[in-house]
Amino acid sequence: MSKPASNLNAPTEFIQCGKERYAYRRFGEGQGLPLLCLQHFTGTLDNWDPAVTDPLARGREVILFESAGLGRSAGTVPETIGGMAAHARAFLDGLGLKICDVLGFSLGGMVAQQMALDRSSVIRRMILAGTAPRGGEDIMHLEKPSLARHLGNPELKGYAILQKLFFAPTPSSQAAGAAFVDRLMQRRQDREPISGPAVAQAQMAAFREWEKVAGERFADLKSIRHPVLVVNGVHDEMIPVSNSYWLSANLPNAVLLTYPDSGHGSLFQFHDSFTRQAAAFLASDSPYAPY
Amino acid sequence: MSNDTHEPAPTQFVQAGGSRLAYRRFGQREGTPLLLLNYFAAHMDAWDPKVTNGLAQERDVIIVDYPGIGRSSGTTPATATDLTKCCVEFSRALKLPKFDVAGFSLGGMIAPQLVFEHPDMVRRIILMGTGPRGGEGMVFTDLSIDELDDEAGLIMKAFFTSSDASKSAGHAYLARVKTRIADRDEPVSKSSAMAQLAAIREWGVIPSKDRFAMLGQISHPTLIVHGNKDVVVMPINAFLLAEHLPNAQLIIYPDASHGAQSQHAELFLEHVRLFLNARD
Repeated sequence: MSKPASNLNAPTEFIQCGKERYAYRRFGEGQGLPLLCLQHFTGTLDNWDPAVTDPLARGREVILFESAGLGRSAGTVPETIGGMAAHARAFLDGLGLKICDVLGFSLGGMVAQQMALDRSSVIRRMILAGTAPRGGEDIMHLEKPSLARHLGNPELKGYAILQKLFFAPTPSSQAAGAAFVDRLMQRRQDREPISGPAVAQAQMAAFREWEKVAGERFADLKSIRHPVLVVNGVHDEMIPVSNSYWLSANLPNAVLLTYPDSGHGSLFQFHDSFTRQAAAFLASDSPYAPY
Repeated sequence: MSNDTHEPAPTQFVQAGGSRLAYRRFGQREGTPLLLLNYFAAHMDAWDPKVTNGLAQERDVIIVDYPGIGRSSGTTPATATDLTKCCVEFSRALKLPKFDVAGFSLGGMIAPQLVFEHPDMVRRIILMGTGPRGGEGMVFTDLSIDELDDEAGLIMKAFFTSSDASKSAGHAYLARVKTRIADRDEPVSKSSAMAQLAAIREWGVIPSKDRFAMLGQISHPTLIVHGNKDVVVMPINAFLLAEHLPNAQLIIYPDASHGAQSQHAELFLEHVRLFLNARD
């Protein structure tokens, strides 16, 4: 019997798109359009929580994309969201995918918005988790005390830092964080190399550029007509929930869902609820976000 | 007479705290009852049957007129605290077991107060188009009870946005609240409306300290729904609730004002179903 489709065992594949060579994984099947998953700051294919990807893979193909310069993808990390969106588009072209659904988490949610602006037709429905619009505020300022105390703590290493950063400082949220870390460690083979300082530096530059606005703030969002599901934890220190409020207020067609007692990784903490909501949203054919 | 749905459910009366309160009860008669608390200057016929009947498919739904409203006797309380007291007395008079409470607007001010004072009476909370005590822009200095003279006009302006989709949802809503023909409620008097307006304004005053302290004490599972363009209770109030209640999930609906749960009724009912059926 074949193993169920999972990010724990899906092989990493590679595709040559022009001069670029991207790593990716695809697994799952069903009636739905493929779901392109766009990853967070310094995250690789291995940072996708199987408790989120696997339930969604029962109903559609899930495609995890490793952008340029990350993991085993070749090339260099762009210093703009626009540059990253161009890589994602090239990847979809390489796969021959003309339209898909998108789950963008954090940095990936910015890339998703940019893709919707640059080539609207490539996206049908979009889930934006723990992210911000262009011109959002307090986006990934790792130097601020609430984040720096974890990043500068010599006792914390690797995923233990992620647990502190992605989850709220309550026993219940930290316990959910520990379970999340356990799940990420369950994939034993065919793992991606961990991102180094050059990746972080380039992506940080992209965040700084994304905070800048030319012209009217949030005007871009009005032209994203796609049905959107916006998700965030109310205690997100990395990209505060106010950014999700702006998405909800300014996107013409977005449902906002927030979770209590949680931070940046609310979708991982409440994976049962999130995947149920996300699956209902993605299963809808309605042109409107309500599903 | 059928007791399954909103339209035919007979108006009943119960003596509670010195008033004779009008109420209706319909839907499933097993499981945790769901008490609905109404909005400003509204009697039972103002509940959207699409919403109440949707809830009644799985729930034992109870709607009630506050004292002095509809066919309830007594004087309408002019503070949220006194309104809360009436709701507590009502639920005791009906000998309700532990219930779920859903409050819309004014009703959503009473619901947390009730749970704060009597945490053991309530299982789960649903808050629609409402805000915390001392919320943002909730003293309603612009609102006059004279606006109630044009009820349909006020509903269209306050509950729905100017988009075609929302306006069309508004007209459908106005048609639905008329589908109950017999045994309808009495109109709300201006003096009762003024008392409720006073209650809302008092609730809206920002306290000098510990602005949202009460919310931190309410650990009940809570579902908050709101329209992203609510012109009556600004969405920031839903954000404040979600950020200060320790166990609240927030859902904001697009292109929707104060009547978000009616405009997006199917989705709202599905969200409520998931929420109320979740394991404790």
